[in-house]
Amino acid sequence: MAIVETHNLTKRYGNLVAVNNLNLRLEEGDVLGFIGPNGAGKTTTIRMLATLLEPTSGSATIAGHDLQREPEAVRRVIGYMPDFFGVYDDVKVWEYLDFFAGAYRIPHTERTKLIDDVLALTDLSHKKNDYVEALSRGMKQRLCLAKTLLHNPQVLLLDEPASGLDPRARIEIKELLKELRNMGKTILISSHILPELADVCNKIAIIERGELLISGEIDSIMRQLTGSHVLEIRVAGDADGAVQVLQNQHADIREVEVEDGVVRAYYIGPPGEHYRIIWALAEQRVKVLSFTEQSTNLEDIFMRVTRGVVQ
Amino acid sequence: MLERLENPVFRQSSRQRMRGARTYGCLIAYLFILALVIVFAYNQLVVGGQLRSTSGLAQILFEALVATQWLLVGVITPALTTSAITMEREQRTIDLLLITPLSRLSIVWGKFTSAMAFLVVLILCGMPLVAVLFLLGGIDSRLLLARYAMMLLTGAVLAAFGLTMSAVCATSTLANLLTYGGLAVGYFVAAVAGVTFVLARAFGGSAGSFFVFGTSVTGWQAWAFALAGVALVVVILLQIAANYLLLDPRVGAWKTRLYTAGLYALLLLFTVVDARSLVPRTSVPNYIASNVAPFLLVIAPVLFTGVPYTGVRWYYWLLPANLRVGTVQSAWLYLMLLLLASVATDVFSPASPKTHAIIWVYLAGYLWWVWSLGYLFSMLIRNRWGALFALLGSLAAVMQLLATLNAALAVRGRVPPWIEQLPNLVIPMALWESSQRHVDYYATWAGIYLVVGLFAVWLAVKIDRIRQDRSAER
Repeated sequence: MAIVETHNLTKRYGNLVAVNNLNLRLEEGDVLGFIGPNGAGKTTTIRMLATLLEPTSGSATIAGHDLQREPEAVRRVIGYMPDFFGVYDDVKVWEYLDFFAGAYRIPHTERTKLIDDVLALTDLSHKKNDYVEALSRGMKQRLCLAKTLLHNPQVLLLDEPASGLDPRARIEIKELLKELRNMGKTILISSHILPELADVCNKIAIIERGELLISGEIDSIMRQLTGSHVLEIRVAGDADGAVQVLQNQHADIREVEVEDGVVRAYYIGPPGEHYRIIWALAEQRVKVLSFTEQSTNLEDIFMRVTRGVVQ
Repeated sequence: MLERLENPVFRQSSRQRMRGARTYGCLIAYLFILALVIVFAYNQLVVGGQLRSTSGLAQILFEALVATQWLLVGVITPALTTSAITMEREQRTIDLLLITPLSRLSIVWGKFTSAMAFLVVLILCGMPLVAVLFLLGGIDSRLLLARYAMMLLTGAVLAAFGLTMSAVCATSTLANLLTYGGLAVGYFVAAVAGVTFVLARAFGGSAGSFFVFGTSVTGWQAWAFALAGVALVVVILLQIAANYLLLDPRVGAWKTRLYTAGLYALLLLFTVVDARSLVPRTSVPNYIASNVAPFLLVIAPVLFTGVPYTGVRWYYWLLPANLRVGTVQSAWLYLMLLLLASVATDVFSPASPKTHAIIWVYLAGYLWWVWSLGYLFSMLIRNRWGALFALLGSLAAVMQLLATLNAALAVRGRVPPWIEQLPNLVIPMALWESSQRHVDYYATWAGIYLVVGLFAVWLAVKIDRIRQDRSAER
C-alpha cells in the first residue's frame, strides 16, 4: 500500500510554476531520495506534503489522509524537518523536547523516558541540560531530528538534513538515517548533494524546474537509463586495439569511449558473463592492466537525466 | 483531564519571558516609576501642607498609583504580544510549531494567556505599595477590586490587539508600529471625542436634546455587559490572529463572523436594556437604527474587502450555507442578516419612537453601496489590506472633498440642498438627525445607493472579465 501518494500536485506563484503535476508514490519502508538542483521545487513539494503550503491544484494523501481535507490527521503521522529552522532562546535541550512532546499530547508520565530515548538515539544525551542556542549546527540538526521522532511518526519528511554540516556531522546524520530506515520508517529526504543519499535510499526522484524527470527504484532506473553496466579497462600502450576488439563484440557491448587513456565500455550482455570480454581481449593479445566493473552512482543518473532537460 | 488543559505554548512563552533579563529590567523600572509617583505625590501633599486627614491622603495616593499603573499597563501590555508571532517567523521557529497537531487557536491562546499571566504579575508587584496605602485607611476595597478588574480588562484587549497585529504583520517592527500607531490614533480619537462632548455640554443649547448612548445602564448590568463585551472582543481578535496562521485566512473567517454576530447580539441586548430605562424620560429618533449603525459601519469596510473567490455564479452567495466561506461575496448576506436582527429587535424593543421602515431600507441601501465599492476594490487589487485601505482612503477623500465644497459654497451664499446631502455617499448621516426627515428623502437615497452600487458591481465584473481574457491570451 502506498503510504505517500501525490496526484498531479502543482504549486504556482503567479506565472511561476514551482511544482508541476508531480506524481510520487512511496510504499511503507521506502527511503526516497528527492534530488534536484537548488530552486527545483524540492522544498515547495515537501512543504506541501507537510501541510505548510497549499497546493494550487492536485492532491496528495499520506497514510490515507488527504492533505487538504484532513491536515490535522496528516500532521500526526508525519515528522518534518525544514531545511532552515531556528531554535528558541533561553530554552534547554530537554525543555525544547518537552515543549514539542506537549504539543503532540504525549502524557507527562511517558515524556521523561521518551526524551531520554530520542536523545540517546541522536547521541545528545550529554547535552540534555544545555541551552539550545549554545549547540553546534550539527547538534541542532540532530536535536531537530530528535524532535521530529518524538511522536513516532510513520513518515519522515527531511528537507536537506545534512546541508551546512561539516563532514563528520554529515556522516553522523547519515548513520542516523540508516538507523531510522532499519526501524522501518518511510523517509523522504531531499538533497542537492548526491553522494550523501547514495547508500541510504532505495528509491529516487529527480526534479528540475518543478518537473519530475524520473522516479522509482534506484536499480530499475539505472537499468532504464543506462541499460548497461560500465566496464572500465586500462591497457598498456595504445587503447585503439582494445577499442577495436570491444567494438566487435556487438552482442555484449553497446558503446565504447576513451577518456584519459581509460576505455569505458557499456556492457549490455547477460549479467555475470563479463569474463567473455576479458577472453576476447586476451585472444587479441590486448595488454590489459586492469578490468573493473564501475558501480554507477546517483551522480551519474542525475547528470544523465538533468542534462537532457538543459539541452 | 488536566493534561488536556495544558497548553505547551503558554509554558514555553512564559518560560522564555521569565528567563530573559529584559523582563526583570522592565519590572524594576515599573516599580521604580510607581514608587516615584507616590513619593512625589506624598511630598506635594504632606510637605506642601495641603492635607487635612490621612484617609484623604491615602485616597489621593491610591488614585495616583492606579492611574500610573494603568498608564504603564497600557504601554507595556501590547509589547508583550506584538512580537509573539512575528518573532517565531523571524527566528524561523514557526514551521515547527505549525506542524504540530496544536490548533491555531490554542497556539494563539497560549501566547495570550502567557501575556496575561505577566500582566497579573505586574499588578501583583504593585500590591505592596497599595498595602502601605491601605494602612493609612480610607480606601474602599470594592473600589480597589473595580480598578484592578478594569485594568485587567483593558490589558486583555490590548494584549489581544497586539497579538492580532503580530499574526497579521510579517515583521515585529511593522507589528509594533501598527499596534502602537493604532492605539495612539484610538487614544487621540477618544480624547477628541471626550473634549467635544464636554464642550458640547457646556455650550450646546438645551440639555434635553442631548442623548448619550448607554448612560441608562448602571451597576451590575454595566459590569456584565463590559465583561461579556471584552470577552467577545478578545475572542474575535484571537480568532483573527489564529486565522492568519492558516494557509488561507479566509477558511477560518466564518468563526470570526460568528463571534462578531455574538458581539452584535450583545449590542442589541444593550440597546434594549438601555431603552427600558430611557423610554419614560425621553424619546430618541431612530433609536435602534442610530445606535447599532455605528457598529455596522465600522465592521462593513473590513468585511467588504478581501481576496474574492472566483469561478462561482453570483447567486451562490445568496445561499445561507455559503456563509461559511469567509469572502467579500458572502459578507453581503452576512451583514443583511445582522440588519434583519436589528429590525426584529426594533419591532420588539420598548424604544420609542420605532425606526421607520424606510430608514432600514436606506441603511440597507447604504451597505449595498459600500459593499459594491469594496467588491470593486477587491477585484482591482486582490490584496486584503490593499483593498481595505483603498476603500477607506477613497471614502475619506470623497468626504473631504464634499466638506470643502460645502464650506466654499457656504462662504459664497446658499448651498444647494442636493450638495448638502451628498455626504450621504460616505456616511448615512440622516440616521442621526434629530428631526425625522420625509420618507421621500430616504427613498431617494436608497435608490441612488442601489444605482451607484450596481454600477460599481458592473465595473468589477467587467474588470474581472478583461483580466481573465488577458490571462487566457498569455
